[in-house]
Amino acid sequence: MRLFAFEMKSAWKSLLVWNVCIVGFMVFAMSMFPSFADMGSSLDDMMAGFSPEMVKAFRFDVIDFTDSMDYICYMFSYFLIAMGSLAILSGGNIISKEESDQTIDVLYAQPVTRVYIAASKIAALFAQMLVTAVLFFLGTWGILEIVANEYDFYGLVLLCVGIVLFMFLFAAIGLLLGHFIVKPARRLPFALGIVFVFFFLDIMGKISEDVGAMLHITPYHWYDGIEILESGFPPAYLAVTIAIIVGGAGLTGVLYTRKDFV
Amino acid sequence: MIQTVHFKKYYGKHRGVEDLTLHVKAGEIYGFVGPNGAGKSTTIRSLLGMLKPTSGELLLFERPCTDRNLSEVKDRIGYLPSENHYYDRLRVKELFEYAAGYRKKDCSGKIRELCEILALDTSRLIEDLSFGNKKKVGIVLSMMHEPELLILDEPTVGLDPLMQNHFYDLLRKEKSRGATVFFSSHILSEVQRLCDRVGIIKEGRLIDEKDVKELRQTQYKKVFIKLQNGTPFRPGEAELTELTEKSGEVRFIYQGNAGDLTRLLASNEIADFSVTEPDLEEVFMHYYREDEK
Repeated sequence: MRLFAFEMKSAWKSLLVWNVCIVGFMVFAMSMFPSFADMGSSLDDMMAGFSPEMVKAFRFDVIDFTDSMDYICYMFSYFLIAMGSLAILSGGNIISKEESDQTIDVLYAQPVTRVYIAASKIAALFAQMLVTAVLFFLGTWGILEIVANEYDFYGLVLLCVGIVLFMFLFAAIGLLLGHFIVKPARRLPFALGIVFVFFFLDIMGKISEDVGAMLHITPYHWYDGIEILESGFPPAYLAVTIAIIVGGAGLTGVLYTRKDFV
Repeated sequence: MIQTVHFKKYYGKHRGVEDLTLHVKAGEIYGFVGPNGAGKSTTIRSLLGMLKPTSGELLLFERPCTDRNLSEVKDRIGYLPSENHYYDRLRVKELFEYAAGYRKKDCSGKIRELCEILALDTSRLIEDLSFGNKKKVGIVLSMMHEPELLILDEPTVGLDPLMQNHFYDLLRKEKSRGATVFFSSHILSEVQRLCDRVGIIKEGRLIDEKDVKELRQTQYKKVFIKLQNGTPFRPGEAELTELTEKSGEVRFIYQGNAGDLTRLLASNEIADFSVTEPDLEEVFMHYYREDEK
């Protein structure tokens, strides 16, 4: 518990800055919703000017910008990028920081096992992601109360559960990445590369039916806001997500007990 | 207290330690010396479970150095790493509180005592500390829980001479309390001052192990000879190390009995000579020199 508390305390400042930015951006984006809602059919005329590929890629064909939940779903995909980046970077950082900063000599000199260290850090990571998702939920809920006449509260909860799962998934990938690439500067391009490659796979899969199968391998498709609101979480994608989270965290723990702290 | 049996550690293809067998007895101060890259830190980090041995056995308190065993005996071990890396954003006292929280005893009194001896300001941020002050932080962390075994990796690097003396006094106190001390060092004079025994490691092998008192008293002599004009130096069969010959002046470390040395001196045409006790540094310097070659 001591290490868990230490990790939470160490991360709170950066987490606070990140959350203020995220919630601030959501508040800013949602504050524009009343203008969109007032535009009505003139918005449809504007969308008609976009190319069919662009309409498909950004889901303009299914999103009703005058509906508060649809509007959130449109913003949701961009928040997924931000949350995915936070999660993968945090995952890599928390598991490798003691080695890259060489503080592992201090920590491992205490009467602790490697399992304790790995478990405390993984638990702290998931707790930090959960705090981020809760703050995102509270911020979005608050602004919806102000700017939208009506909204689907249950739908908002579902979207935030989706964000939690999405963050846990990328955090688990980050943990593994942190095990194999200890230096933060070397890890950064791989971490952000993973986040953006999946995003572009999602866009490509939506634009072209020829490569539509690619959608099955990108978590952005698994956590598409519109789909979540319409039919919840597809069981297959949910199962894969849980497998990656449990597998990634578990494998990180096993590898941590075997590695050399060089 | 500490035992390694044919311990080997490789980092991929690179040698850390080749074949190390040593035994440190309870209550002694054991100096572990050797050139850079000899395997001192690798041995220490392996004993503490940070590195996994490639083969061989490592034992602390007569138990294998596995993760679980170590977690049970770490309350009895104090470790000072060679590098000073701590949590930069903490204040010194916060770091001590954090580390003390893992121990099963109240360390506050000992922390205060050590900080006073070492003149360490605990209100400062770790990141603002000098290298020497960070070393002091490490010394407090290693001793605050009054461990039975101290494992110290290059403990005096970065300390000024006054602080080094305070540190030597602390080690003597720890020894008189019954603690065992295992420390690596480059500074042979401090090993000579403090240690009961010394082990020399080179290229991953223990190449010599000596009782420091015995070593100082009996075996080695430092010899200076001034030869008569133009006469050559005749070393005979004697085992000489650190031999230098310049302008008719010959210096060497002699290892052997007094009779053979007398015969060596008699076989040369000598204008002047002296035979003195060498210090440890001079005795062991040849191990380092061979490394440089």
